[in-house]
Amino acid sequence: MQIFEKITAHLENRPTELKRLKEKGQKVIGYFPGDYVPEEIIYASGAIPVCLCHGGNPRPVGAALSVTTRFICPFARALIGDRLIGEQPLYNLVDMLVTPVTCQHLRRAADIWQHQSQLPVFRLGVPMENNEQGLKYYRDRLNDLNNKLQVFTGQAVTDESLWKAIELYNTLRSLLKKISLLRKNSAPAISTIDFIKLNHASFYADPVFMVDILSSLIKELERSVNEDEKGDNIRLLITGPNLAFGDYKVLEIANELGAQVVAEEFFEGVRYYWGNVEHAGSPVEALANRYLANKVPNGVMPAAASGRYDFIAGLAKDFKVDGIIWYQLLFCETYDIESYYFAHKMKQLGIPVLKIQSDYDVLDRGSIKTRMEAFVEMLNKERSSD
Amino acid sequence: MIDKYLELCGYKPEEIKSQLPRVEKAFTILGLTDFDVERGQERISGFFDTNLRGVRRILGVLVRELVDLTLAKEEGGRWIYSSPPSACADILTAASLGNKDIHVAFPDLLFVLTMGMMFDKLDPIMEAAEGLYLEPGMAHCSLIQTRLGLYARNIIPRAVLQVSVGLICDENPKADASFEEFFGIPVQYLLRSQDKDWEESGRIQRHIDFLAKNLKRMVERVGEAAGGEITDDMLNQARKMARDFSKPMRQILEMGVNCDPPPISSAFVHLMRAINGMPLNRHNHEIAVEGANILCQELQERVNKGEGVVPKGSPRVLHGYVQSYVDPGIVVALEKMGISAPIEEVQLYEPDGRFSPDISGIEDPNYRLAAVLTQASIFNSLPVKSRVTIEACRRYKLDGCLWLVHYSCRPIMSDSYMMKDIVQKELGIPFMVLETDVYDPRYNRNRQLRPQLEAFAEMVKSYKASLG
Repeated sequence: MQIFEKITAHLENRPTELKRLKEKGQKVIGYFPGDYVPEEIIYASGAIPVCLCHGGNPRPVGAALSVTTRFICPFARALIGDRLIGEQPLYNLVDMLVTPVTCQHLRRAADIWQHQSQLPVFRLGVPMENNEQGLKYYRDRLNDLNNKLQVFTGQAVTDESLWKAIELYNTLRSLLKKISLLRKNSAPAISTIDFIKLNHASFYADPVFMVDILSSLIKELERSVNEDEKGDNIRLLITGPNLAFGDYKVLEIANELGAQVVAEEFFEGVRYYWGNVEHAGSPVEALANRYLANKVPNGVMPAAASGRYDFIAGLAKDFKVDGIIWYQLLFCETYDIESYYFAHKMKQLGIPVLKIQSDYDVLDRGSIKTRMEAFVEMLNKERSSD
Repeated sequence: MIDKYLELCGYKPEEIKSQLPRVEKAFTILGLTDFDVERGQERISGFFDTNLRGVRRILGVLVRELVDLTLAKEEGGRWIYSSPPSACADILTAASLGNKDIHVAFPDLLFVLTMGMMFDKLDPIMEAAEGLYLEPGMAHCSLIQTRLGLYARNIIPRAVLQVSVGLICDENPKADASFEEFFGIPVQYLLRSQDKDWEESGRIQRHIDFLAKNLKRMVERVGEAAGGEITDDMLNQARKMARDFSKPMRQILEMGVNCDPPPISSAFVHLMRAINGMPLNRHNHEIAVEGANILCQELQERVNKGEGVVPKGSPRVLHGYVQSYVDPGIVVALEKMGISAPIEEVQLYEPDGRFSPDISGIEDPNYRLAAVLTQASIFNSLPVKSRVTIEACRRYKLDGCLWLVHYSCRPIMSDSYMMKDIVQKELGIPFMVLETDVYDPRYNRNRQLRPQLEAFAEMVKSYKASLG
């Protein structure tokens, strides 16, 4: 598909493009994933939002051990290591970092970025409770971020410019969701690995470019959808804390085994594009509602579990999956606690769950493949006995 | 055998006579054999100076609390639990003052200090938690593992309310949420947002407002669970009780800081600080206060005679962030190498510590407590923490820093190397980071750390000698 080639070329040229824009005075604002940092606020301030979500490569994970202990998760260590060894050109173009304080791992990764490079860092408090007090706190912090960015970029943010940015990102999310839903078909018009790459690309690319390219892609995919075509592969949903840009090991193994991952529930997956900002109240209020109140909470939040079970069970039903892969990273303590209950709940609904954990180590691959192979075989047997 | 142990733990003869049957019953439930009790005697005599009457009396408080909680399933009563940090200890104590049927405890810390530190028999409890769902290899917090293990082994009664403190970590509230789901234990959370920017220090109003409202809700919910409103009078009484113990404890801390040599091992002072943060049964609290006052007098006599745990003029180091709860042998070993560690980093930020939190002009008790908590050590940014550490090292003319890093505690462990970097660049003093588990005896053997500790001691002595 020519569209994917265009995206690849855009991403390859993005660092050069950003350097050029920086020379003209624009600021690059990096932020850590988690779907709590509204790109809209950064974009409206005239800066360029870049979500730093690379992972899966053991090299930066190892490099991070020169400045921290091994007991923080490999994704946070990758964030640290990629900045240290300069392997991700975009990471070293960042003028300011915004980190959502969702977990201790990201919090400390931001500390190390600041300690190592003296980069300005804004810590966006994410209350661990979704109630009126929590929402007010988060809204106030979004206002603080808005003010800080205006000073940093020297550009005033108006309600009008914020609504414009909201409209742009709403369009982007809607397009991604539309493509995602095409995977409900028994013979999906797009593979999940391609879809996830698209989604990941949207975190680095120019949003206007992405809206344009996704609009073209949808037309192309809709033309290729054949309702009569029936696929008989095992269908899987994958969920967990996060699936980083480049961490495609599990998806690749599923393909090798003739199974198909058809839906993903991650920070950088469904949670990002599932819900849009509603045009109600002030723009910051609307953003706070979208990014904190009206969405499936992340698993770090103590009382998040039941809402998450219901949402994921709904996805499993809609996407007609045979089983779920719970993919978590080593030392992610909160998700590990939730994994036990998650498997228990899904079992009650008759959905088998396989828990897999990774340290981004190349040696993971063999053991993960063996476990997935057994899981797919079991699902095949279950299907044939139905 | 048990009577000898109780004697070592400061029980008076009449107390041994009246309490022995309960103690024996509790020890049987806990699987403590004569061999364990004998070993327990050796352990506490090795860790602490049990020649001091005050030390023995205070150690006895832990045994009494252990017995009360272990027999609680038989003896009845309703229990409210919490766990460190001790943000809600006074609220729990106040709840127990209003209703004799309500008992309060930090069961996890209590079992770490007794079954872990005193008897070295915590392993089966930890393994029970691992067998359920806190799997090994994930660096789960061992204090939480203890809590789950106690439920898994059906040792303690299920609480009518679990007070879950999420001021520092994410795992504590998440685990309590799972206990609610699995064991049906209701939870009330005390949460805050950890978004202090590096340039922010002192009082951060948004943090104080958020936490004070949470504390207010906590008082109401604990009151509901206890079956009656917690009044300001009850809270004040609970705070007065806490002060009755902390006042002599502070005097002992000050002796450690100001006297050369320090009259008592900082391992015991650390234990006192742990007890100070726990809600105690009222009768046990009175014994703790009695023990602290006796100890204060005994130590003053030592100071007057110039006696202490190291030779006069020995090097002194700052101990961060906390000492080991399960194996005080690390500090004892350091002292035997001729180095004292009279100051803990966390105590620098306490209300009457050297870098006290700013609470001036705040009248509302919830806002005052919120102001104290949000300015405590761990809540500060790295630049603030490193500045305080550097100032403390200068002020007290310290010769090094020993950072014991509880590796399964993400908030604590992950900035230690940055702290080392900053402090060493500024002061050039030896700074050793030791990774260990301060609650899990399986991963905390001071003998394993001995080579590093010996190297550190040599570095500190050389540094001090180089100053002339």
